[in-house]
Amino acid sequence: MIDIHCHILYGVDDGPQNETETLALLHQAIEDGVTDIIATPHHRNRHFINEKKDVLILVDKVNSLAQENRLSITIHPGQEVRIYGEIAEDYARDEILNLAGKTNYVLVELPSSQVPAYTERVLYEMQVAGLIPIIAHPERNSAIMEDPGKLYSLINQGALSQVTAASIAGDFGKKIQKFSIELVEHQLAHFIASDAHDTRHRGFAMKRAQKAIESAHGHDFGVFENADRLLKGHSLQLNPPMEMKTKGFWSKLLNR
Amino acid sequence: MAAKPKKSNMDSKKRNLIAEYNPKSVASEQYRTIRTNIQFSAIDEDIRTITVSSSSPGEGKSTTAANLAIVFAQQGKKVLLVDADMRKPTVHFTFNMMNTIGLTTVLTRQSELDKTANQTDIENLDILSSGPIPPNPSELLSSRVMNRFFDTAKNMYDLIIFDTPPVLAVTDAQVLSHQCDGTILVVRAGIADKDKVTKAKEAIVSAKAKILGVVLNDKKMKSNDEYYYYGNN
Ligand SMILES: Nc1ncnc2c1ncn2[C@@H]1O[C@H](COP(=O)(O)OP(=O)(O)OP(=O)(O)O)[C@@H](O)[C@H]1O
Ligand SMILES: [Mg+2]
Repeated sequence: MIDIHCHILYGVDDGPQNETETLALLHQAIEDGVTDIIATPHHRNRHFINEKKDVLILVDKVNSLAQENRLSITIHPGQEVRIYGEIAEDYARDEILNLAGKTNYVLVELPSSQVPAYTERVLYEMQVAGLIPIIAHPERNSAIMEDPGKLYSLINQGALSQVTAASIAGDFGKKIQKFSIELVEHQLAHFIASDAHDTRHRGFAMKRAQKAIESAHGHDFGVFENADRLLKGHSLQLNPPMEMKTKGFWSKLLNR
Repeated sequence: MAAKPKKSNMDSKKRNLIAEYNPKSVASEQYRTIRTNIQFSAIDEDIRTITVSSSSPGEGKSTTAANLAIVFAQQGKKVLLVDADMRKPTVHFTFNMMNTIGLTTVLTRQSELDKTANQTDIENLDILSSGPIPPNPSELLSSRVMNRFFDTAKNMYDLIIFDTPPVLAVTDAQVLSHQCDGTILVVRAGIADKDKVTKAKEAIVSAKAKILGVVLNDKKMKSNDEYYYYGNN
């Protein structure tokens, strides 16, 4: 299984702080069936800056670490880029990394409680530059939960999205679990990834997520195959996004 | 762990492109009937550019546009199907292609038509997907921008078919109708609202566009869902 969103590099963000913690995460990843991890340290959020050149160096180090410990897992470079106005320009300046360092996909993080008005413009400019934005964990954005139409219009406009395995598995509660499965059903989420930070609170849950989605539907909507295709450079199998009904007053009340 | 292939996905695509995958079906026959009606609708002038629209969402514009493009291509015409529905682009999904370049990048001169249009497995049929959708997409369809596109495209193709948004949702379909030789209005049986269809027709006529005909889509026939054609009106 391929994990396209993971904080596996140490000492660069709120993920592991040292080699030991990274090793523990690698062990957990392998146990969870992961063969390839795209390392996506936070970039340009309020606390962390991890430019392309620095990420590449650390990815090499972690690959060596895995080899020294005879772990059969490969780390690829990437970033989780907090949305800002000049992503396309900075990509051209070689500061932004695409996923795996060889694709057209860039993982983009929205603020947790809103979808800024400039989002459409930025995602459009990225696409015009030949990039395909993947919105990280939309199921955890409160503005999108309130109005899924906000995500629908971004997907309609050509962006993709990635829900977090732990959300699908139910680790963040029933409400987020239901919502994230609905996003997959409506073709509003196209990947499931770990977004793992540490082994205890925010670890890997890929297998449990796969079980959860398959037990609900008998198939997984291609979300794991898409990650595979992304890494191999094959084109994805996508379907048109479907609009999700905004929750009415009563269902909102009953769901709380 | 290998993911299961999405079987239902490919099946639905084949169902949507019935004129290609099941040319002997009644529906495919109906599309050929529509083709002939379009060709005979204008005796003195060739129809080179067609807008396909409807009054409301989900009436079958994209399905009709794609299948019409296929039956014209099967006849030996060099056809370009253009996704001009920037409200809800779907042509790249139907034909399984990337949408990083397309109509919008051609119109904004970021790519050239001959390098942007995609060949399909279907002989004579090329596809121009929507391309990335800018925040104010309608501006791109103004005749000022479109003129150059029409010049280039008409040099390369015999027929250009535009999939568009619903007439009553945004003005795009009206604007395109005005620039095309003819417009086809798709009406979904049992779902379409009579007043809305009338309004849509009026909007197209007021844009000084020519309605070639109305396709009554999804009319229940015995056990099948099929297509009827009303001819000129
Ligand atoms: N005659 C038909 N029989 C069965 N299903 C149909 C028929 N025509 C269209 N459909 C289905 O109805 C749905 C909507 O059709 P389509 O996408 O062609 O409509 P549209 O007018 O382009 O919609 P939109 O306004 O969203 O762009 C699709 O799932 C399509 O497969
Ligand atoms: Mg459509």
